[in-house]
Amino acid sequence: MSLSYNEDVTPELLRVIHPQDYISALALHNVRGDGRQFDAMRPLELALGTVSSAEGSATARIGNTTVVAGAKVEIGAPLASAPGHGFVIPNVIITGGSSSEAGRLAPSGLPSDQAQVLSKRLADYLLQSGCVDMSQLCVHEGQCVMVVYLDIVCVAYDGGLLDAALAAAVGALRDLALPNITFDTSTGTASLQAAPAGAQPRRLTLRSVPMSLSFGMVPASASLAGQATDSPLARPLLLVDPTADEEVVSTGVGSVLSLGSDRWLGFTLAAGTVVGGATSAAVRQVEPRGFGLLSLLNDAVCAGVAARRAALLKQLSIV
Amino acid sequence: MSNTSLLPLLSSSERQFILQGVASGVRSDGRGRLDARDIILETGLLPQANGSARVIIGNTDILVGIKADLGLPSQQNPDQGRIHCNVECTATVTNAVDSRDADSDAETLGHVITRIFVNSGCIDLKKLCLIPGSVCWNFYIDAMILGFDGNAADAIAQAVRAAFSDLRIPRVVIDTGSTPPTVEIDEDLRRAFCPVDVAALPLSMTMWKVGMSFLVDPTPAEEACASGALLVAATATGRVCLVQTLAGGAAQYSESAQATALPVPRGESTGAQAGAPPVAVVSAGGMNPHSIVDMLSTATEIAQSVARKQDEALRRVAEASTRSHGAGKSAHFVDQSVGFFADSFAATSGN
Amino acid sequence: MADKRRICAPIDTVPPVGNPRQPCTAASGRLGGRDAMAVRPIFLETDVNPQATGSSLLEMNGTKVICSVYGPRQSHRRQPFRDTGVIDVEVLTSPFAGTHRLAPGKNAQDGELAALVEQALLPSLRLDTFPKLSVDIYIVILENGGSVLPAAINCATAALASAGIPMNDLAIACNTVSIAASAPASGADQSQQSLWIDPCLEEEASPDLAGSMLVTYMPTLNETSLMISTGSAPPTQVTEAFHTCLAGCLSLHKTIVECLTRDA
Repeated sequence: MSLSYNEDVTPELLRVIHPQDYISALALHNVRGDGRQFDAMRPLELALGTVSSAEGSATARIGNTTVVAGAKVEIGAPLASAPGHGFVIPNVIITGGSSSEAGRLAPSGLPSDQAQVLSKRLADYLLQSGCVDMSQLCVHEGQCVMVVYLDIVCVAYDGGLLDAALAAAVGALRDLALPNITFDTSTGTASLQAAPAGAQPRRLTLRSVPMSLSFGMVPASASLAGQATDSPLARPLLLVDPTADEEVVSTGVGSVLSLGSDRWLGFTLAAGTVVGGATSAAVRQVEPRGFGLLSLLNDAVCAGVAARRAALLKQLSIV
Repeated sequence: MSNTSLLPLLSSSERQFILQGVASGVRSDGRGRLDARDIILETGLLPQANGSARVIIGNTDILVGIKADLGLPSQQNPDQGRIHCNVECTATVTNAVDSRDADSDAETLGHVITRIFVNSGCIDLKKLCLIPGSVCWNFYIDAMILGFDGNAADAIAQAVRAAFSDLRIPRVVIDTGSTPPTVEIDEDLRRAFCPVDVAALPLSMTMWKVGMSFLVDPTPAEEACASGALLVAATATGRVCLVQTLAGGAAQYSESAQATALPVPRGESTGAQAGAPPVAVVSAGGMNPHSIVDMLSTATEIAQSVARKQDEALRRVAEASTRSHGAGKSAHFVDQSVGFFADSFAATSGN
Repeated sequence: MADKRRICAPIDTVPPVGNPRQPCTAASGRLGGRDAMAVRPIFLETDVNPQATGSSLLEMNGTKVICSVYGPRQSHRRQPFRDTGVIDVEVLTSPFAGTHRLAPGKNAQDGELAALVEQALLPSLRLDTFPKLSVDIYIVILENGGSVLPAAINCATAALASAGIPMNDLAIACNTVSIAASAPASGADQSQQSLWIDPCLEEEASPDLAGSMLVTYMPTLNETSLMISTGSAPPTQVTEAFHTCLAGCLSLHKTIVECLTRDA
């Protein structure tokens, strides 16, 4: 079988030169590179108010992935179609230092493809989940609304970026202290008022807390096809919360998006495709619409989502 | 980053030749360490610019134009005018593989010029504001390196200062009665004036550290051998407007560290680990604080005297132009100008 | 017009006017009554990004900088032949780092900061030990609470040390601002100036600011790798500011060495 290597090939070397065989070799022992079970996720840590120059900020950490989100508020005239609605504008920045390749993928100042996709996704999720009632951002209807620029900076990348970015984004919105802006109708100017001493800043009410849990599909190892069917490698592996190494070898990386214990916001697949290749058999069973894939994927994902959700809510101090 | 895209690649024997020559006080063109080359100065060459000047030092050839324009003040400083500095290299003078390297070198020089003339506060930007928050003068200083023969920063500073002396902007009439207030430009160019006090502007003098000694006005080969440089900008009255270290061409080369490593090592902790070959790192491209303080006063004195000499030259240029009304206004100045400092410098630097 | 690579607001926006932060003046003294020669407390942690060869997080009361170092590795830029290594510094200021949101994308300031950090670090490195290779240094300024350039340099030198890149010395940066009792334009006598070390944002924005200086010093080599001043002053005052910065560098050096040996 192909998993036999010269003795000179240390596990660390194997990880670098043949990442798929490394993961397969470990999978034979029912374990992953960082010692986790296939269905175990890394804990999510979320700290609010980590950047004082931002009106709202949060730092999310999943394993070695670190993401800092900061919200800055600006004002402008609303759209005629929605005179009382402000905007939340999320943008993901993957810094050059976040992983060994990030600095080479995107020339400085330009968002990489991955960052562009993530920004778009976050914008969609925040909007679709209706987590922020945009009318809370109205200063004076038809004249002046607030725009919350939510910039999410990934400083260290080791997989699970969507999960961390979404958690940090929601954390920063939760932490956001809305500036005290008054609008003078006679002059048409908005001005920032100093908050009275001791007063509690006005905060956004979040109607829901969108969160996500990523998973990766590692195809069945072709070289092991002849092995016993109870071998972990005889069928595609589902890895919950994959690291960057695991994402690379996954033919499909997806995320489950949840709004509540039994409310699903959605389900995404990215970076490769689950359809085709090793997992096509699995996908054939998926219902054309809806999230039947979830039940196929297994209960562990649902359990993981529930567990992460509980942790997130606790850290956001919403129980 | 030093202007590496402008510098020649030297072989180690060429480098050794220059380092030894400088160490014994003789440079390859026969100058002493503190001898500067002659400077040729011309002003008023660009009819489209509000002020222009050209400075030639050896084959270093710098053309500077200043264009004045009415514009919007910045949000941060609504009561101030704005000055933008830009330095560009003609493609023929660089030997960069990647044009971005040449751009970034020119950009670095642009930052230096901004620091000398703008950040130092030598020009009262408040005077350039006409209506706070809405109209101010914008000056665009564009310097073009037409030829490079060493010492670009000092030459550009010379040219910018001369261009300021040539700068004429039209008078404006501010109508505060109307709302919003309006600005009207007086078309009569005879009433145009220079809004900047040129006598208060600084000139820069860069002391290049080659081996263990310092020299002024280097050739490209000497710049390539320099481990670093200290740029000092000072006015004729001796006010220091900028002190900045620049990286020399040799900052990237380890040979320079070894070449200068001959005397007694200073820091006993470096390179003294057991088993490691004794690498006596005396200078890794930085500068000793004591020599910085010494160089600061030496360079200030030199810059001061050069500024006075330039003022004198500019006066001659102005006189010549009133006599001839011609475009070719030029002056040749600084005859081995700073040579007389050589003795006093040698005494202070102790090498 | 709209940037297709980023999510843009569908409307034009401006930051709300009215600045709640009051700048410090000569009369008000330093923020929080800090001593003129006191540097802010430092929090320095290394290996914050396990993906990188070395990394560090530096916090100084309102200034937060993260630096990741990769290499020595093959350079991704086209380079002429060099028999020594090179370093490649990239600085990114996060959009929420300052008082107003910074439009995303490359801005001129980041480029200038990167060039200065590079100049400050170069003499501290043994470039001859990794010929033709590049050490890539990525700095993220998460929060600008004043004195970002020295914070970036100190953070980068700590990250380089934690990455095990061969170095001659640590390059420690410190800055001061000089505050004149009255505006320098009025030609007041200069004896009134006071030097504030490691200024915060309110102090850097002081209307009484007469000048500033930044010095990067390598204490073991006893060499200065980067020195920059702004403002105009007689040479004696420049020298005084220089010595003040050197003293600040020495005290920062002590703290940073303590942090590095603790983490090692």
